Amino acid sequence: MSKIGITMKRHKGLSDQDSRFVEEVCKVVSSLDGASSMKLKIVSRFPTKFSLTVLNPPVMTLDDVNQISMMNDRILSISVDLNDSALTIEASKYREDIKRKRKRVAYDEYDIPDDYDFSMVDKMDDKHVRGILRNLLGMTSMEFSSTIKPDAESYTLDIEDIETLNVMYIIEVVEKYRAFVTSTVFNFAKKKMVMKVRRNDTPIQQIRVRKKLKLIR
Amino acid sequence: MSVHRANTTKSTIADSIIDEMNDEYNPDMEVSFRGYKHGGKGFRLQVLNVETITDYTLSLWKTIIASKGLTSEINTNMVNGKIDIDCRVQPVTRKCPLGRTFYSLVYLSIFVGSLYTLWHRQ
Repeated sequence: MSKIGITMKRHKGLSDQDSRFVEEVCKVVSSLDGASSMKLKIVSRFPTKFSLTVLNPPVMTLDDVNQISMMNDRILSISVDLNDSALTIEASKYREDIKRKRKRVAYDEYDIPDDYDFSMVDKMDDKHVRGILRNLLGMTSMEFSSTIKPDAESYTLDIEDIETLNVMYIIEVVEKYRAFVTSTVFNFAKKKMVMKVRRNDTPIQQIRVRKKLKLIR
Repeated sequence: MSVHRANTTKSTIADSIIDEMNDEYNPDMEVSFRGYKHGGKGFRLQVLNVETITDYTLSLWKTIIASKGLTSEINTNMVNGKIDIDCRVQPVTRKCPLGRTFYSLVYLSIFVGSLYTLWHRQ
């Protein structure tokens, strides 16, 4: 195991707790392969919230991004901009007197237009593949390019030219189709999101379940 | 294998809107075409390097877009200094649908018919 030694000067617009969070995020992202060219941008001029943007981040899985969301319960949103190669975390500034509850995200599904081609998808997989795409269409308002590469055990769904994505929405889709979506990767260098979708006739290796833990103090 | 390829070609309407969106108070302003909305319901423009934004500028942009027969929604992100303008195609609505006119005529003729029957009986 490699030890990551990152020390940062305290940002003048941030409290100790928020600076520590920024430092921790840096450590988590730096520990991934290909993080050498990343840059950090902090906007802290607003009194109640701040944003942390990681420019040119390395290839990140949804689990990697989820680690960040679990590190701070004051995170308001995590967004992925594949076109500009940026991961933005927006959080409330630390204040002892205020405790926020995270809102559950919601979006509508969008009917798949008739000109979409699913000829490469087997009939038995059509329902869940279309379902995943219907959700991706629902969480965005702009057109994006999508390709499906059929493999022996799964389909590789490549999403390109997509607008800024709210990671909470992606987590929601993966949770909804947890028996089918086996991996989700954000490739910032190639400006695409790659999802592996299991075929119905292949055995389930693992199901992604997020267990909710209740801390008793 | 492609399921759907996003259309990145700028439409002539988008081109003319971009040309008309000159602003003397924002000489470095850049307007770019970001793509089309799902189902061909419009497109998005993005404005960068805006120094000052006033009600006049916003209403001017809205007027330019409305003159092309589109409705607009302007979203300003002050953190990134980006302005997204969603231009939507106005849904075509018939002022007086044919079905409603037909039903009105049926009700009117029944009413007139009943009046005539009552008058005839007396």
